[in-house]
Amino acid sequence: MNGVIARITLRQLLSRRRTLLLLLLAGVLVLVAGIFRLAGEEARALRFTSGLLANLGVRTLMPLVALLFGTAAIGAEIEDGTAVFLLAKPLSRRTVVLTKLVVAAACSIVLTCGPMLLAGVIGAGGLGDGLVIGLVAGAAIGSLLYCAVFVALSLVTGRALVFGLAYVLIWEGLLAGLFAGTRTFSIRQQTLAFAEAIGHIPKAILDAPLDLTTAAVVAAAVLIGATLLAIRRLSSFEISGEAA
Amino acid sequence: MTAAGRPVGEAVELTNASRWYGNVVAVNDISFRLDGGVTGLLGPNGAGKSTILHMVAGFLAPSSGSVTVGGAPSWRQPEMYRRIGLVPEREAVYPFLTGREFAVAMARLQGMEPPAAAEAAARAIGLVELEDAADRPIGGYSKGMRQRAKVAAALVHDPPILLLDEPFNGMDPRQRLHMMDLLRGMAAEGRTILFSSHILEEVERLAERVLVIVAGRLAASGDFREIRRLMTDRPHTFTLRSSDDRALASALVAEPIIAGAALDGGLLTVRTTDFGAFSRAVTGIARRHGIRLHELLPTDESLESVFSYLVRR
Amino acid sequence: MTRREAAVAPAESATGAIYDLGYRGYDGPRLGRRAAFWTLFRASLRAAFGLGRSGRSKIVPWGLSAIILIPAAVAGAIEAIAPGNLSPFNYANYLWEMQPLLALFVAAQAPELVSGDQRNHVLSLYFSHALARSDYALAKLGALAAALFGLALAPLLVILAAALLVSPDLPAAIGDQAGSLPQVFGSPLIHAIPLAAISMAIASWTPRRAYATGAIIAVFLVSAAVGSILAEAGRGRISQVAPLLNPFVLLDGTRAWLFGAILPDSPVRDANLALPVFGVLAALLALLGTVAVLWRYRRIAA
Repeated sequence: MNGVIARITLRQLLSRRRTLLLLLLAGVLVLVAGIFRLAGEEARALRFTSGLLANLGVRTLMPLVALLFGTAAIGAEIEDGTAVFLLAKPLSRRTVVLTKLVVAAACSIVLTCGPMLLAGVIGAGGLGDGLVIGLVAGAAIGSLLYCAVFVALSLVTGRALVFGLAYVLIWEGLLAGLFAGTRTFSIRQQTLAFAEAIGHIPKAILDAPLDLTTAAVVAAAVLIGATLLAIRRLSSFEISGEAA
Repeated sequence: MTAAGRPVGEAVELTNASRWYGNVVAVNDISFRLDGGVTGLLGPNGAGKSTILHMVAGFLAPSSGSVTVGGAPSWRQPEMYRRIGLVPEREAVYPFLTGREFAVAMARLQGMEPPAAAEAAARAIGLVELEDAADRPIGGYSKGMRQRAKVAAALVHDPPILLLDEPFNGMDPRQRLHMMDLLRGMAAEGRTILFSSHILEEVERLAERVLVIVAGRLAASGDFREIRRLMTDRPHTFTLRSSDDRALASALVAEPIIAGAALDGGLLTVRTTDFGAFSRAVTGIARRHGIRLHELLPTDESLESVFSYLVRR
Repeated sequence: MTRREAAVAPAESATGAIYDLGYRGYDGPRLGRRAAFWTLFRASLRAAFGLGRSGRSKIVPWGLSAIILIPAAVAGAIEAIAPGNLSPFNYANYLWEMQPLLALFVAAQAPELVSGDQRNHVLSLYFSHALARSDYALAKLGALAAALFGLALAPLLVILAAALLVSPDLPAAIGDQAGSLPQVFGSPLIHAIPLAAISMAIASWTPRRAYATGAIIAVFLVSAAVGSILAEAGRGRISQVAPLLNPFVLLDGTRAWLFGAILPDSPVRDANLALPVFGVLAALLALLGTVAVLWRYRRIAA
């Protein structure tokens, strides 16, 4: 972890436009919870909150936020051409990758779990017997996993955003609906499994199809694998300097 | 700035280095060794200068051959960057940092502790004459100021080797002269400086030694006047002013070592294959015909003529 | 003296000539505004599929085209091997099921069409020709809609072809399928125009491709999620109106209105609203999007 890189990355990621867009998304989450508070049936509060946090939160907000931060953490520097200043230093590439990953994950977690916590508390009128905590904690892990995958993706292709979107929409969306087997490798499903376990959420409110052990094993493998891939790609990263 | 007893600049050495991308050969079997002084990489756009610089800087692996800095290969050696300062061509910098913050950040990344980093940054900024703007964000800098900020960042850790890719881009004449003085001074302290350019005047003025790169190959290396002398299959051109150009012209044309003479608008130009013999003979010829010589100048010893010859070869 | 004459007659003397190899004027016929519009439309349509560009720009559109065709092709193959109407895909539900692909295509390619021109500041070049600003906007929008139409139509045609080829009695099959032709061509059209309008409206507002793609996807994802959540948990009116937030629901409702067949698992059924409502709202969405694009290009500094 390198403090200078962390500070630079933080300032790059939290640019005005990006932060505004994400705060807008977060606002929608809180707004919907508010609408329910005002106009929804109290008896269905837990089911609603579970649906809200699982669908709008885990399914929509979490991947979008992680996508924006994860692909930009290293990707933006490479595209802009400032990566050379970080790489022409006596620092191990491992340090660079880990620092950027941690910063991206931290930003993602704050901008995902914060609104989820707020919206969850509003919607459930409290912590909902572990529902809110479980989903928020699960989303924290999910954000980290997504960031690791997207950072690695940004070092593999120049169009990391589109391929990341394709992964989220097609693999985790379309295919997971069609083929149950793909759920094992879906970060979304792993997040739900963690949430169910951490919050001790009854199946009636949130039913995560994946079991905890499988989720934990695959998630750990994805995190380590993606990080190692990213380090490896950055270690042999080539900059040619010829007019792009 | 360098402490006494500091080793003379580290050697940069390419041995039969080549780099290709699929079918396209960007750098073709280039060998040279640099050990101190200012060397200019000269060549047309797309000749491979940036590729060579980035290979030396450890950002490209040679497809064959070797590229070493201080004896060790440059590729995948993060520790090497303690000894190298790189000024890339691309304009990109961190727009939200001030010039000073940028220099300090680069110093910190080089491993300096905060007090030392601030000092080194201040010194570097002073060297490039950026003090006035140092506390404004780089996003608002002009192109020349940005270049200077990049150079300051590259100098902040006092590296024995400096690599600069088109460093004078966007600089006005005064800034350029100042930068050249700076680089000459650093070379005099024993550093190895390698810079690339496609502007002949820059290379002519600054480089002690020229490496001419054409289409990925090393077309010539060394002092450019020496290179000119080696171009024996092409006659040297001289301009003469005398008391009677016309008579001198007809007298010279009769001599066998003269390839041609032309009298154009009051200027006598003479082409000869053997400039040594010519310069010895011309005074005798002039005296025999009672002509006074006022001036004798070689006209194609410029880097431009050397360069155009090498490019067209 | 016309410029053509000057070009043909070089400066001459007894022993030599200098030929004018420079600029030549053009005195021939000039195609007008309509030709310019259609040229831009054709070029943008080609660009939407990466034709005439590097291989990398073909990956996304052709990749998505392949993916959207696969289920239809597989269903057709299954039908051929084991006939009996087992196919889960038909003209009515295909585009609803393939929502993510349509959204992804339009999110990736809308910026591809318009962001580059803004980023490289070439709009002034476009507007200095016979092309009006509104022409530019409509041509780009039309091209994206046409591309999306093609993407949505292809799998439906595959299903049609499979149905015809599998049947042992071709004329009867043709007769059977003829009734579905309006849906086969109409459904993609209904989907293409509003989706293109929304995404082009968003994409034309920023020169940065990544932001545009992210914003378009965010709009689709968030609207869908909010719609489904409020529909499930809201009271009375809210849960009725909530599905209308999702553009795809509007499109499916329009399809159901015009071509019948409400899908069993679509929010359209749950919404319990008169079907023309969906049609009107979808048309409104398309209109708003188009106006936004026209407005943007009318006001942009070029």
